[in-house]
Amino acid sequence: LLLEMTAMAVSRRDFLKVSTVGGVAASVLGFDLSAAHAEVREMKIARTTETRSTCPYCAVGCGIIIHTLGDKSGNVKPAIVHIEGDADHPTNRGALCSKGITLKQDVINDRRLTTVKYRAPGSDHWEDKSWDFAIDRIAHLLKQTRDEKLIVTDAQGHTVNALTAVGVIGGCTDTNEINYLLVKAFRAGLGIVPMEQQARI
Amino acid sequence: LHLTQIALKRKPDWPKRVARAEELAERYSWEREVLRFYSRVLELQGELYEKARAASESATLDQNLRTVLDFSAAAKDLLRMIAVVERHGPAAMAEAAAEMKSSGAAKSEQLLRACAAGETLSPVEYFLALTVLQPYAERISYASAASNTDSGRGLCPVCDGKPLVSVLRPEGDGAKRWLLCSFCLMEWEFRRILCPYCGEQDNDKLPLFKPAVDTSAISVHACTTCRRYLKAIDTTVDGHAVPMVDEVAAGPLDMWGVGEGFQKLQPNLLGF
Repeated sequence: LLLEMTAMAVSRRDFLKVSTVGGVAASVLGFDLSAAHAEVREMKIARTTETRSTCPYCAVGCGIIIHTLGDKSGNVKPAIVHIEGDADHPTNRGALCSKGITLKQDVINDRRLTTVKYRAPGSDHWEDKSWDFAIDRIAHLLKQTRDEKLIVTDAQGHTVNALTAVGVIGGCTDTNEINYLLVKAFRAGLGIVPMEQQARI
Repeated sequence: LHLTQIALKRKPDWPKRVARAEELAERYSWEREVLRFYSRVLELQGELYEKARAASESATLDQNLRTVLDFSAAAKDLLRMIAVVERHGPAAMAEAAAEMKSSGAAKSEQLLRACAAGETLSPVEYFLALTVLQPYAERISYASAASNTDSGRGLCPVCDGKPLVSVLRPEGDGAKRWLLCSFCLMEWEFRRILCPYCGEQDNDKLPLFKPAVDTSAISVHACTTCRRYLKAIDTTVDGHAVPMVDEVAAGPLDMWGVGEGFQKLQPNLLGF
């Protein structure tokens, strides 16, 4: 019934039907559309996509909408053209702080770091390194610290397997699933006690 | 206890709509004829709205708006709208409207009821009936306690009308989306990345097309799943925009959209 109530009175076939009145393109009501048709030929149209995301800065986790220019074809690199607060997000209802509102400058910035930087102990300069190098280095130091500092039993002789010499910090954009894996890998797996989230830093 | 939630309702401002149509007619040569005609129609609609407002300071609505309109009062206004079309409309439309002048009050009322019920009418009949009914419908949707909060439906919560245009209004540091009802002109809240026709939520399937100039406040919000589209007026870009008028002024975007194989979710009064 509702569908019937709202059915279009003018049929779909009539929509934008172009007839000819006196030799010019005209709308269903007889308006001359030739100038509008000429305008269409002059128009340059850009395609953008809106993507929901979360502001990466603090622990509030405000919703944002990222506008990306590009038609998804392989030879066109998508470019972020605008980032705004997400009015539908229950946390911030479109509002952003002075940091969040400048997010586009965070992404499109010639001073943004795009490679892994490494400064060796005692060195006075940064070197570009690969991600493989960084991950191997972190794993090596983590194992070394755990081997040296793991507390297997407390003073009363209870088994605790606690590692307090390493800390883990979660980010505001981490999902429930990421947090589950963080706890599973670092607390259950390696025995790390200090696990924190951004809000308390 | 029955509580109805109501989001902000914007006060109908018919003189502003008329002024906007005249302003855009000056600005856009390709729509000049259409917008000049539309401004005359809006003038009369403003008078009808005032008449409806004077007749009832408040309105209650406990059933579908389309069934409670004052059809007999509106039928008397049909002749006035025919006169506007005869005087300012294109020749073919004026001729078709003139033929309806001899219809009696009963037939006029029948036409309005048919329009409200969504029956198929000729383009000119549809135009005349809808332009006369809109002010009466807007008076009730505005003055009653009808809810306009987001229910997730792509149809007007008051009258089940289809949306004519998306309106983006400032909310915090972003924009909130409202849909403007093509029948009763009420705006209701609607989520941003969601197709009002088929419910598609995948953002990759909901592209926005806009003229490649930064100052453009109008774009085509399409859905590649159902191939429907609505235009959107972004009032964070142009705060002077009057959605129902700016929508008409952007006819070339409709032609572009149709050329790309999309179908407009709801054509406007003028058939675009």
